[in-house]
Amino acid sequence: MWRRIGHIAACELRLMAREPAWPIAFTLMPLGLITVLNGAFSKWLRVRGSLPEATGAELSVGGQSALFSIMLLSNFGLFLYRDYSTGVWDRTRASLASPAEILTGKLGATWGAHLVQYCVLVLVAQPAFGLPVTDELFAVAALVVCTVTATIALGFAMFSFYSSSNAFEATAMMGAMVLGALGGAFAPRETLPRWSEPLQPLSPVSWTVDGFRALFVEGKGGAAVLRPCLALVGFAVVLGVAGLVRFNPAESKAKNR
Amino acid sequence: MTGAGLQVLHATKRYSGATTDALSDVTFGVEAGAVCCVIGRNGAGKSTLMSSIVGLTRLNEGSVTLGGESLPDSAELRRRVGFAAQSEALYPLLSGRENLTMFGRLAGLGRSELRARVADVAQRLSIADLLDQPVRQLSGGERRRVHVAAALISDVDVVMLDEPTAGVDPVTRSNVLDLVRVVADQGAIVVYSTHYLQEVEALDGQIVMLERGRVVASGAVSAVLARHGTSTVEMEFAEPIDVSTSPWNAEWEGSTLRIDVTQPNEELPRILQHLGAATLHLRSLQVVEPTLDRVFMELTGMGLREDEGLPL
Repeated sequence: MWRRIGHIAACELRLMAREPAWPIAFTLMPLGLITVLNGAFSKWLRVRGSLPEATGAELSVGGQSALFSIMLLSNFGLFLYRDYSTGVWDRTRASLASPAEILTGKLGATWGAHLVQYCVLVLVAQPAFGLPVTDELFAVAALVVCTVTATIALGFAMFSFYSSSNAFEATAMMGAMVLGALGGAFAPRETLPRWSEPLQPLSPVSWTVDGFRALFVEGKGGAAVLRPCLALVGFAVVLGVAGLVRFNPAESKAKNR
Repeated sequence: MTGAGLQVLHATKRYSGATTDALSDVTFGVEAGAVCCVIGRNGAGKSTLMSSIVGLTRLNEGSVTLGGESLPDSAELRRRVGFAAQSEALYPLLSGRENLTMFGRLAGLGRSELRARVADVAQRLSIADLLDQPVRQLSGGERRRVHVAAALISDVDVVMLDEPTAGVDPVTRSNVLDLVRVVADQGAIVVYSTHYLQEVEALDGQIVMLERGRVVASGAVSAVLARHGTSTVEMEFAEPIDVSTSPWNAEWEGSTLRIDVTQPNEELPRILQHLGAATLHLRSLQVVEPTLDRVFMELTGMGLREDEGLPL
C-alpha cells in the first residue's frame, strides 16, 4: 500500500516539476506583494501597535503566504481534473491502487509542494524583510504545517464538491482573495469594517496571521501559537471529513480547458 | 459455460437519473486463450460493460467472476487484469517510458522485471523509439500504442481493450491485432471492444453484440453468421422477368434480381425451378454469403433509416 502511495506521490511531484510555472509564480508574487504591503503594515504597527521597529513583515508574511498557498490549490486542481479528462484517473483506479491510496498519494505530494512554497516564503522573509523566523523556529514550523494542512483539506473538499476545473479554479483564486482579505493579509484586521468581524474567524488566514502576530508583534512565546494551530487543525478536520463524505471516486469530472 | 475463465452473469447497470438501463441482463463467458469482441454502436453499452468488468462501474445487478471469484471485489484478481480504456489514459507531460513505469509499478512489478516488460511490450508495439519522448509530442496513433502498451505492461490473465484502434493507421491496427492474437495464444483472455467489424472477422473469436445495453447476438462469429445471417442470391437477367408470384422476398436493382435466403443450398434449386423458362435470360448468378456487417445491421436496425447512416 505505502509503496503504491509513494509511486503516485512521486509521479505527482514529477508532473509538478515538468510544469513549474504556477508554483514559481505563486512563490515570487507574494514576495512582491509583501514588499509593497510592508510599508502600510509597518506604519500601522508603529502607530497603533507601539512597535517602533516594525517592518510590517510581522503581519504581511504570514497572511500573504497563507493566501498564496490557497491560490496554489488551483495547480492541484489543474492536475487532478486533467487526470479525469485524460482517463488517467480511471486507469489508476483500475490498478491495484484503491481510491484512498490514490488520494493519499496526490494529496501528500501537494501537501509537500505547498509546504516548500510556504517555507521558502517564510525563510526568505528573514533576510529580505527582517522577520526573525529562526528565533521562533518550532512555533513558526507548527504554524506553517497547520496552515498548509488546512489549505490542502480545503482543496480536497473543493475537489469533492466540484465536478469541473473551472469551478475549482475560480473558487481557489477568488476564495483566496476573500479569505485573505478577511484574515488580514492585505490590511490589519482592526482596520476592516465592523460587519466583517464575525466572519474573520471563519478564514484560516485569520488564525495564521494571529499566530505570527502573537510571535512577532506581541512577543509571546512559542506556546502562543497553540490556539491558532488548534483552530487550523479544526479547519483541516472539518473540511477533510466534508470532503470524505462527499467524495465519490466513480463520479465523472471534467477539465474545462 | 464453466466456472473457469471470465464470466459476466446478468449484468445490469442503470446510471442514476437515467430512464433506461445502460446494461440489461448481459450474460456471456470467455475461456482462457480466447478473444471476445464486444461490438455495438455508440451508446450501446460497450464501455459500461468494459468498466463494469474491471470494477470501475458498480453493477446494479449481476456479477463478474474470474475463475469463479468476484473480480471487482478482489485486489488479487484485479492484479491479473490489464485495462486500456477508450480514452488515451496517459500523463501527457511524462514520457512513454515514465507512463509505462508508473502503471507497471502500480501493477506491482519490481524494478528489473518492469524494465524487461517495458522493453518487451515496446518492441512488440513498435514504440521503442518513442519511449523517451513526452506523450504530448506523440501523434494520435503513437499515443494509442503507448496506451495499449500500458494495459499489457504486466503479465496478466485478462486483457481488456476498449476500442484500442480508434484513430490509428492501418499498420498500427495490424500490429495491435497481431499482439492481441499473441496474447490470446499465450493463454490470456482478451475482451476487445470495437466499432470495426473487419477487426472482429480478423480476430475470428467470439462476439458479444450489444444494442441498447442488451446482448442481441453472441457466440463464435461463424455460429452467429449461421444463426442470424441471410445469404443473397443475385441473378442478372438480359431482360426483366415477372417475379410477382415468387414466394420469396425479391428485389430488383437495375437488371439484377436479389433474393434473400437462409439456406442457399436448399433454396437455390427451388428458385431456379420456380423461374422456369425465365432462366433462359439469366446472364450471371452468385450467392452472396452473409457478413457480420449485415447481421449487425439486421439485428440492430441500423441502416434501415437514412438519418442513422452507416454504423461502422
